[in-house]
Amino acid sequence: MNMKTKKTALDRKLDKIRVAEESGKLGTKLTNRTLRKLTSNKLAVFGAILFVVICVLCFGAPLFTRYSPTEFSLTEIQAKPSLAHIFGTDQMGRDIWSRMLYGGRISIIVGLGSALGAALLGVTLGMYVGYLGGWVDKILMKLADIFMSIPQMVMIIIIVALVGQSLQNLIIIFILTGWPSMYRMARSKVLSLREEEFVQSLRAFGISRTKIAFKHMLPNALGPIVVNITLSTAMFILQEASLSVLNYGVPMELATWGNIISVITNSGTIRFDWLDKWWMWLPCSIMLILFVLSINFIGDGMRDASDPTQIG
Amino acid sequence: MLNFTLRKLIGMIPMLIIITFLIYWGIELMPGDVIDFLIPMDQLAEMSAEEIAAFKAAKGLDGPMIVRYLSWLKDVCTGNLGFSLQNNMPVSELMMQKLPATIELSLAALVISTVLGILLGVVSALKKGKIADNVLTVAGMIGVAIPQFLFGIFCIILFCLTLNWFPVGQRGDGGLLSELHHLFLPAFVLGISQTAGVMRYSRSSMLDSMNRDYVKTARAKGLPEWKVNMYHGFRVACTPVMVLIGFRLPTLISGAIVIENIFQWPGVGRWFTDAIKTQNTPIIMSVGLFMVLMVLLSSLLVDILTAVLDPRVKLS
Amino acid sequence: MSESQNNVVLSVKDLHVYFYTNQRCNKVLRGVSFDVKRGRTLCIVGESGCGKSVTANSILRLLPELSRIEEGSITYYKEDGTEIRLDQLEKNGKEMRAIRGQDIAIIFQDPMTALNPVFTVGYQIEEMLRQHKPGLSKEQYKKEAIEDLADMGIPAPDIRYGEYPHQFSGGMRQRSMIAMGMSCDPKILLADEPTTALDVTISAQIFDLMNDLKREHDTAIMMITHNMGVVAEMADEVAVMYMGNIVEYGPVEDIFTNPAHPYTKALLRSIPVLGKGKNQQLEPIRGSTPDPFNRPKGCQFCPRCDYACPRCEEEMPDEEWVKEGHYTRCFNYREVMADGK
Repeated sequence: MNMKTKKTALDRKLDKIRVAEESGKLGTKLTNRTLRKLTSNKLAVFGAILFVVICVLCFGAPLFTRYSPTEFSLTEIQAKPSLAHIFGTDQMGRDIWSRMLYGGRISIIVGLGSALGAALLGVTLGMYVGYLGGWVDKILMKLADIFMSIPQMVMIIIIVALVGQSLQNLIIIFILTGWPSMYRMARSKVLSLREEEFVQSLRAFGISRTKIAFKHMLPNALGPIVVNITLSTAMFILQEASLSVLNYGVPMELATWGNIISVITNSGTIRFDWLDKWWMWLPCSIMLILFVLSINFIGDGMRDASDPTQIG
Repeated sequence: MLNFTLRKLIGMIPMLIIITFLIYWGIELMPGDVIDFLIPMDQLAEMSAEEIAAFKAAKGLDGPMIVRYLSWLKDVCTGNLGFSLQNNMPVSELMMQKLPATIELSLAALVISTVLGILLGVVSALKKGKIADNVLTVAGMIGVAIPQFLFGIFCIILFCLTLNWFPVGQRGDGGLLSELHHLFLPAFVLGISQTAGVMRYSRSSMLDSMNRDYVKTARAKGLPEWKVNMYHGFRVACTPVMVLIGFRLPTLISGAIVIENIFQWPGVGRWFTDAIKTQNTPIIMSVGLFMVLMVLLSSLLVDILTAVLDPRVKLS
Repeated sequence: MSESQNNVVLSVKDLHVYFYTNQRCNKVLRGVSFDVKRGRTLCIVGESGCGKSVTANSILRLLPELSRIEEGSITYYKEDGTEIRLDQLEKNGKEMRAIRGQDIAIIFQDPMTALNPVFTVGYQIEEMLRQHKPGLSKEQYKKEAIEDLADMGIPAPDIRYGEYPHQFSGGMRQRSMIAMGMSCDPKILLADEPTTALDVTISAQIFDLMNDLKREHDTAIMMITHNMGVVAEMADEVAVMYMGNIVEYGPVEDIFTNPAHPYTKALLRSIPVLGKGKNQQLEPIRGSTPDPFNRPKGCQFCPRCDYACPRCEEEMPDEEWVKEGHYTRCFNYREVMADGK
């Protein structure tokens, strides 16, 4: 009697591994399992390529466009895409492709800078204070609670109104609103690491608490932190765009993805008369979406790869 | 349970006082004088210093910040939310007009994102590695990558302008069908952007639960797969998902501000952004108070729900 | 011979199970054969990672996703004489599910995680009854579940019925697991290290319980353990496993008094024997278990064996019958047996 009447796709895949194993092709792998899982994740690889391409385009902007993002020409207002301006021009006659590239620089800096800043603040505090405990920890935890209880947009809008609109201010505001979640994550990781035996034994050796926290515990918490940084980068870029729509973002004269896209809105509402001038907002929207998507693919791939419960 | 709820509610009071104070302080520190928004420029130029002071005193805008905050706090405790600086309308009355729209929108979005997110997440987990899972994963990622307002614009272009299925913005005329017709698209847009997050989380939570020993025990009992998945796998997986949804409520409210603007939805979100531009303190404070209260109450709800869903959790 | 044949309820022949994790193929079981007989206890003993649990899970087809039964057969002999090839059934299909719990039940190693934390213990036992004895009333299910708990010596079963697993102690949880397993009077009980997570007095009680069940219901028990003491106490037959093979199989007395495989012998030498005084020489087995991806070419135990010969390095010995019902996989078994203890 035939044991298996039909073979599923999984069976075929397993057959292939078995043949390879039996022919001795699968030796001890030198590469790290996490890295291998990441590189075999097609979405993550695609995301990484997309990310690099967009970064190269934006930071090497002068190589890809001959226009300056601020140079306006009153003879070419809202011009359709043409050979001279591949994505046309905006309401002030500025080349949109050039604005997209230079604007990308700022959007990426805002996103990445805020995420790194929030991580630096949140993780440093979480690692050290979470390990030490005590009243500082209690106060910071309460503070994080308060920060997280105020809807982020409300807080951002109020702070923007408070300190005024500028690039630096926006990054500072994002760091201020972003640190509590980083703090909580780092703290909970520290609380579980603190009970591990290697930490106990380090303490028994009389190694200083600062050294234990940052030299021995931090590397163990790095995986989720890196994932969190990538995902926050995406979130901050999206928030920058939302704020531009509400006119609370980076000052309008500075090109950012959010500012370019927000021409389609007028203090929050849609400008229906401009919807058919698609080149003014759609290409940039797609660029922003692709960039955020690439970061999410990378972040998700890293999370899967660093998760030992996910076999593969 | 009752004891716990009461204790938590009392615990909220200092939290509310601190947060409202911070907001009040924030408004106070904003550049510019409120009076610039209340009196037209040319009139203001003609007014004497005494007249301005008298005007401020009449509006309750004089005196040190602390004193004004405390008097605001006292008024709120007696149920008086103050009067709009712009038109002297009582804020509580305005709130009553605008609040239902926002609550309606947020609730509908919450329902959509919860139901859809959990459903798709569970499907994705059960079909792990198969086509359905991959499609949902990519769709979910695209869902979180599109800014909410852009998604709103795309939907308006497609469903309102091209297909003419839904009206753009505004609320219905009171009839249930008309209300739903107007509500659907903004709630959908607001809900979908939340769905992706809920879906990813439900997926991983479900995968985690399905890897546990009790699932193997359930299989060893001879239970059919759907019972293993739903009774044993899902029942445990849903607790952390509920917690996440509770924690996500602030994001939902933030999103509502943007969506209300895009869809011209007459809720507190639009009102709020307008009030900030004119430094209309009573309105900002009332909306802020409402939003913070919503967040705190929902975190309480999450606590209670967790205790109901998980017998190991004791409310204390 | 024919009489003993009739008593066989489960027969595993030349079972090969491979795991395919991390893009590698791990040959976890490499040809395992044994019989489980009515009213008898078979103990499978071996160190961790040798494939004991995999064997039990293969019988109920509870293997994880990335694993496969490659070769061999698992046959279940029903009381009415029909034979069911468990290895050919659909994994979670209707026939397989009808056998799980009803004919073959399993108790897992860790009672802390094997019970679902969000359901009452009573509900989880009832679930088993509802599945295999449909059509009873709600009260009847409850009554049966409470009786099952009472049978396992759980005090105040009617109160315990409505409690959650976290309100139970470890021993109580394992009792309720057994109550659940026995609730449908299965013909075979697979016990996967049922007492590893419990302390000694509790495990003694659990063993007594299992022995009672075996006597009263004529249940066949397949017990997995790494503890030679448990084997001595519980087993009728013993199968010693090493790196995915049964290296020795036989009646418990033969295995203990006259081991025919160097590994069995080494295992016995490595544990203290009660009553032998305090000057016993305990010898740990030298070396360590090989990497499953980098196995010795011939006999798996060869690098650690005192009796190894050049032939052992080249080929895996076949099953050789020492006498009826006792086989070993060793070329030099005569030498091993003659060597004495």
